[in-house]
Amino acid sequence: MSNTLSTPPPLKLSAASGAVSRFPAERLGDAELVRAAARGEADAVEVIWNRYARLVRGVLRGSLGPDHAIEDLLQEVFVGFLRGAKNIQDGAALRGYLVGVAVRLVALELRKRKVRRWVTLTPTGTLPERGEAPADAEGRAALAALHRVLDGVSSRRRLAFVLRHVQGLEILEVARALDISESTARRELDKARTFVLKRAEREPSLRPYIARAARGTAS
Amino acid sequence: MSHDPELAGLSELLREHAEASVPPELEQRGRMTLTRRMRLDAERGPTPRRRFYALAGAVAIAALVAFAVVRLRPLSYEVRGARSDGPYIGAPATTPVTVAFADGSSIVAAPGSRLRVDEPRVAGARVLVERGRASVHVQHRTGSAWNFVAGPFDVRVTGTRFDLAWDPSGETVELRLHEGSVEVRGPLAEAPIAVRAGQRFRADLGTRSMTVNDVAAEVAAAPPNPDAHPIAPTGSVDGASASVPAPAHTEEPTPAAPSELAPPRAAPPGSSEPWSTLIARGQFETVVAKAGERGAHDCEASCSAADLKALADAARYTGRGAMAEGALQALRARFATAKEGRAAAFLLGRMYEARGALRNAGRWYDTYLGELPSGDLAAEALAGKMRVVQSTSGKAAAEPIARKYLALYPNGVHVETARGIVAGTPQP
Repeated sequence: MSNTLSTPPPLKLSAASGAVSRFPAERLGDAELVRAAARGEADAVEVIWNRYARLVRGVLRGSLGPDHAIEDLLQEVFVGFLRGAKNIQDGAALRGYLVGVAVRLVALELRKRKVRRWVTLTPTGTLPERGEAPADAEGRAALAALHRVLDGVSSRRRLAFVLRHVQGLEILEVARALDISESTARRELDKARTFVLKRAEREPSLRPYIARAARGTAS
Repeated sequence: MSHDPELAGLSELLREHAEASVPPELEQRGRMTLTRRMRLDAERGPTPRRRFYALAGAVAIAALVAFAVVRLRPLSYEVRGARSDGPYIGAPATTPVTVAFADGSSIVAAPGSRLRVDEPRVAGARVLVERGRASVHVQHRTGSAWNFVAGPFDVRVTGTRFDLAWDPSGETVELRLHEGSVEVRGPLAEAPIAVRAGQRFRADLGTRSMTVNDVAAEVAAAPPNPDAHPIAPTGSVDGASASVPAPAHTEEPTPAAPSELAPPRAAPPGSSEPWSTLIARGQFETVVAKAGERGAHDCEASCSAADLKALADAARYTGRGAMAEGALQALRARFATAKEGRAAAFLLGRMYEARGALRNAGRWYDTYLGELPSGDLAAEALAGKMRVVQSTSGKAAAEPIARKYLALYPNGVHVETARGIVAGTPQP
């Protein structure tokens, strides 16, 4: 029952024992989970983690590539959510909220990388130790090349690209996450697409991925 | 998942990595870390950073309050020479009283005078001269606001030195300005009257008369101590009576201000009074017309010093720069050693400075200072020279003049300018 999930009674009477038992948190809707998290209920927080950690990690990884900071940033997203939970008006929009927080953290991280590049701490701005990367050498090289290409676009354009083409968000969701208009999101996506395709052709390790797409289009 | 076939391969490459599963223990560790941090946050309450911000905010507010209390407190003052009874200050019959303000401004009430510091302000005060004479020195500061009220007249001041006298029985007010400029508002003129250094303003409510005279030469001859030489009750630089009818009873209204006159009016014909008297009445157009009847060049060659002075004033007050210059130059050429001739040097300097003819201005200021180095207009002339040299040759060249000004007139109205020049000049 959808209305039961959206506004469930927090407690229910157990017929067997006559005692009051807690309503299972994993069956709560996002809005109620947010309210419970705001009250400091640990099980609600765990459910939120289980429900959305994968999505948020995907946004972070897709945007930043292999990086040891991913798990720390993931924590930051959720800690940020917990600290602001009391002020969240529309708990049902939790997914968009978390993606939005992740996007802001990614933008911040990308700026830090740029600074590191400026002060030449590392040539690319990324730290030498990389995080989880594809096991095969070709895959690692291709992924690194693709992130090199993405390094050439602005943070906003890069994030729009990842949210749309990796996370599969609708354009309206992309716009909301980036706090821009839908038309601006469309323009950013269009420019990102043109740029990525053009630059990817110059990367030998990426050619098979473009060729694969071309073959798929042709067939 | 990509909506774009051309990007499908690249999107898939990114997605494979983004959605790659993580080891269960990593997932578990993340979840536990989060719940632990949540508990810690709840137990600790405000974080050190939040406490720091709260403390910093409290300190900033306290500093603002302290600043407001200190800066927005009205000027304090001290009465020397008499017992102060609240804001009311009465000078004994034989000795003057000094009111010294915290900002360096001061008022000396002549023996027998009565003052009331009616409204002390943050950067000034409203002072009533209830009876007698007050010699005032107001320190010029940004935002300063001083009012001196004598009967129905209100003298507005930003920084200056002047004498103000009010006789409540005769209902006469007299203002003699030594430095700077002031505005006088009163019932006999609709607009404020600007009075400048070297000028004397006098008004008589009984006869509804009001005059503004240049008394530069007269003042220059007088010693600087105003107490030793009280303001003359009547008379002008030309010796004519200053007690003249007020606008309501005269053919020409009293001008709003000598330098900000209404458009010229037609001169009443047939007047045979001395020009200086006409000037005292504010009948400037009449003087200009009379000079025109004689021929301006003829007047320059044959008019008396008093008439030339009157013509120069009338021309200046009605915006006839060339005519004023001709009269002043004639004064210099024909009466260089007379009081009118000496004052003409300063007036020429001021006129050229206003026109932007700075080298000429500097030369005439020098002439005045050379002839009357301790004259009453010397401070204004030295300040004028300082400004001119700064504009034409830079701060470094003006620095010795600024130092001289500060040494001679440490409380003058141009000390801020002088200090600015000295401070802005690199030391050797």
